[in-house]
Amino acid sequence: MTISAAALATIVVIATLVASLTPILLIALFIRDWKKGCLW
Amino acid sequence: MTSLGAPILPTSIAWGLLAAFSILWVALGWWLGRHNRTAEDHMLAGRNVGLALATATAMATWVTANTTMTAPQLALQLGVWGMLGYSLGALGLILFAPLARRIRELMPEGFTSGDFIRLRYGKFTWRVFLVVSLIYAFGWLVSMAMAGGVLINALAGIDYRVGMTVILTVCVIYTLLGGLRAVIGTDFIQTIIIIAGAAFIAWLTIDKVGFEAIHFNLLDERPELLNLLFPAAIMFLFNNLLFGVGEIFHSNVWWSRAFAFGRNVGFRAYLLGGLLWLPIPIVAGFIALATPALGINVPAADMVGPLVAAEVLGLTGAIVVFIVVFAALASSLDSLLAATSDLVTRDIYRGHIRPRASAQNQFHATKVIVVLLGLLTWLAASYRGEIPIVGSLAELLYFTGAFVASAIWPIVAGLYWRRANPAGAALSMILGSTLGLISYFAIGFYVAALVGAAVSLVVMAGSTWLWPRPFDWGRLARDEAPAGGSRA
Amino acid sequence: MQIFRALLPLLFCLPLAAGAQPAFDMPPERSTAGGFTLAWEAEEPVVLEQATGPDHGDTRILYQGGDTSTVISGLPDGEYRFRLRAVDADTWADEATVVVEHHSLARAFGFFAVGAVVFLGLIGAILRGRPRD
Repeated sequence: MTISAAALATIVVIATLVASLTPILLIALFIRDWKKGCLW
Repeated sequence: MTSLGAPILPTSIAWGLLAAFSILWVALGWWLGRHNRTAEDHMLAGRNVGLALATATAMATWVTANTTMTAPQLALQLGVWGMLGYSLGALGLILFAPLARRIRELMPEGFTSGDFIRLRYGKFTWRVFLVVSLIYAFGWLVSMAMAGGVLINALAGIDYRVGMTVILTVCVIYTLLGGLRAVIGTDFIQTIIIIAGAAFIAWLTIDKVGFEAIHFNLLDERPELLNLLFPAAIMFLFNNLLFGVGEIFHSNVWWSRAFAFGRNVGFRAYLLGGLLWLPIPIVAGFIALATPALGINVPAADMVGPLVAAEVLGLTGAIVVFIVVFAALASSLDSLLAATSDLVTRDIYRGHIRPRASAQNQFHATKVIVVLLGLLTWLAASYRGEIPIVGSLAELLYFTGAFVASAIWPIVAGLYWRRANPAGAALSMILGSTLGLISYFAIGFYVAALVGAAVSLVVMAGSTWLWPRPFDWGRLARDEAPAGGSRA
Repeated sequence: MQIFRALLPLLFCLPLAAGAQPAFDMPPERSTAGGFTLAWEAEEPVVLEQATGPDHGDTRILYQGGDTSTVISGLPDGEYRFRLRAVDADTWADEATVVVEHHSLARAFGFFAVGAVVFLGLIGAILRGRPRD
């Protein structure tokens, strides 16, 4: 049972998309915490 | 063709990067810790860490050099399942989310995982737990320092001992200066560097090699890697998951964060951190599948990630990998130094040597212990070849799967089962570790954690059912409040 | 964690003994995971070939160059023959045979099932144990 090239591509592309957006999300959260004064 | 004989990054550039980031981390550590006055500030960052920093520190600490180096290695050795199985390590973080909330509720004044075991199960079980915990923590520290030296050497040709010393010293200094605040603050930046770097390399690999070429060449040269019924990979799946769960559930690295995160932050931070961590091993790992398409020789399995990155991206790739690896190593080493020194301060120094130690004593003790731990780690890592027992410390970590997985059930039962039996908890750690070790030798490394966890489940559930020992949850908070004594 | 496992071969790699002919350095005999590291001792660049039959009929060049090891992985069940020579030599200097025999699927799924039970039990215990009292 071999995984197809398309399935492999789908998994990897989705993972890479999520990972690419993660830093943006973290920075957004950081700014939100900072504005609300609850960073620490 | 790239090879280990020739470092992929010029030594001068590597020294520049090392120096720049070392200064950055130390300066940040000093700046973040400049207002620390009490043991509580130093050890638990004031107990009110917000969601952004909490999520990032959970992710960064769980992205060790492992994720950046071992995810590609597992993809190369166990294929698609190896890569996906490794990403299931995220479940350790996700499952710890409800535990973190429970821990914060039960012990608003708690400091370490040892505190909990002592109050919940009594002294004997506490000591068994400390042995398991410290073997794991020290083994992880030494191996991480060794990994740092080896990787810096392989990437940039800098002498093993020099590279190891630099990375360890930097982490000790900023942990010493800023405590958990410095650890968490640097973790935030390190997380962003690690993830952005890994994603950058992944996109360029996709662009330059392409999935058709990757798939075609794998099928030709290493077909099992694409096989969804690859037996060793199937066996590996749950073992890896339980190893990760055991590491997180028992280790003070994660408990001290549960105590440090603000009210209502712990659950969301661990959940979000786990979900965001899920794709990282896939992103970091899949590039190894491109080796046949690129025609690279891989002389050692753990170097496959840097080799592919350097082949695809040249000098830029080597620089990105070096920065990512340095960030990943630092983010885990600092956390481990901080959490282990807390554990030693609370459970060994205050627990066994000076029960009457004041808050101020403990504050100073933590700092001395961080330095001592750093020194001990340095000694073990630099004389690894010459002292037989220390030389095999890295090997010792093979075995820790059995130890940490056998602590899963005593922790879960301790937090949730009112009738959990203390003797049963000690026995389940002892028997789980023993049988896990036996299966390690009899069957293979990929079942040690699995057996440890299964045995500890049977012992814990059986002893609780046969000899229930009701426990008053309120004791956890009551007994801890005066003893914490950190309000200076 | 797994990095240590991974780094061991690197950490303890020994200085190579001088030898005129390239030779395999303790090649494995069997593999249950379809992968292993082949290492050799050589002073000059080598050619490494892999074949599945004794006559080396379906041979393919795995590696040519100055490294002294290579990671093999993803091989299906079978008997694999590797041979090694210096790049400029005409005769093969050393040979190694590795038998790949994967674990049976029954065994693999046995362990998978035990793991699944422990894991589901864990989720059950955590969900059921939501603070009630």
